[in-house]
Amino acid sequence: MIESDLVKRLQKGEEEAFRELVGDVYHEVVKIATGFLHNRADAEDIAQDVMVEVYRSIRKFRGDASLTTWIYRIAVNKSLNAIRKTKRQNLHADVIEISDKAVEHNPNQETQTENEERAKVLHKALDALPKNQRMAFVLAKYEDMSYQQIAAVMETSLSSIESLMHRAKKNLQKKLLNYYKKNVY
Amino acid sequence: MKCIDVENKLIFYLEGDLKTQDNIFIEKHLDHCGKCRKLFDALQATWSVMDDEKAMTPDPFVYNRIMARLESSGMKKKKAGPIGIPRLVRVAAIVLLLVLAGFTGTLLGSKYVQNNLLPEDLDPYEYYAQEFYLDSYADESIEYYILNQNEYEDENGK
Ligand SMILES: [Zn+2]
Repeated sequence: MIESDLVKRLQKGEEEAFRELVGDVYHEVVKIATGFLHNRADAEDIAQDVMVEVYRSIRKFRGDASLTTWIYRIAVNKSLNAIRKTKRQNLHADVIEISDKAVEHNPNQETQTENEERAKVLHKALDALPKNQRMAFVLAKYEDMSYQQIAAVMETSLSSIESLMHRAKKNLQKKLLNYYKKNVY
Repeated sequence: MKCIDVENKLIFYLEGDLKTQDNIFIEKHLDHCGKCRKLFDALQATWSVMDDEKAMTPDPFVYNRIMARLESSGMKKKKAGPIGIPRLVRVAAIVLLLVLAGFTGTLLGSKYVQNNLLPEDLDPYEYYAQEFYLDSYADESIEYYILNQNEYEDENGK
């Protein structure tokens, strides 16, 4: 898309332009939200919320960042807010932590498919990442963004993203390998 | 390279972040060390979960869903008409239609009257016949007809 044209048409309230935008970015936003929320239904809900927000605020868009960068930033913020909300709701619920000692091999889990088990382990490891590492990692792995693009979304430098990604991978590796050693072998 | 060194680099090996030299070392190690191989396979399998999660089945109704949200949030008014014509234009269009309908009616009516008054392209005989059948009772009032009905019947032999 030729972004500046699209922005102009959006700001004029052209419905067809909004339809085009939804076609272009909606699924990308769903992917980002999936990386944070690990659940398709919740991710779709967030993504639709993001598009509503974009429609509502497009007149305020000044073009300091690219349109998609701006939209992905909204997606990250909305996802993080949703996580914060569910965390507050689950404050007193039992939360199983993946820590070095907390995970015992649970015979009930043997009935789960291997894939579900893998997903669960990955999600817990991701959720345990510090916020910035998690943001960088989700944008890189779920949205396949370049480090340069991630730096734009997170409004930081390329080298910061490189460092965040390195630390995110190291942290994930540690959690995952610990889990495998305790539960698979 | 010891197992611990390999373990610490598995994720970077998987991600293709390593230099060629390291890549070769790890590849060789994984070929003969079952313990590290298992860890690597598990890591790779877990990593592939992300690809599954990213796979999308496009929802053809997404745009409508978003529009419905916009409408329910009051951000966007419900569509005014079938093609979203502004209210003022619609009112003007209705008024114009009414005026046009009235005008057309008057025009058609006057043309009909005109035809009856000035049957220029009608054959004089035909015209006469038409006049005769249509208007043969024109001079006779309904009262006259009712009053003299018995007379007619008598005349017809009743
Ligand atoms: Zn080894």
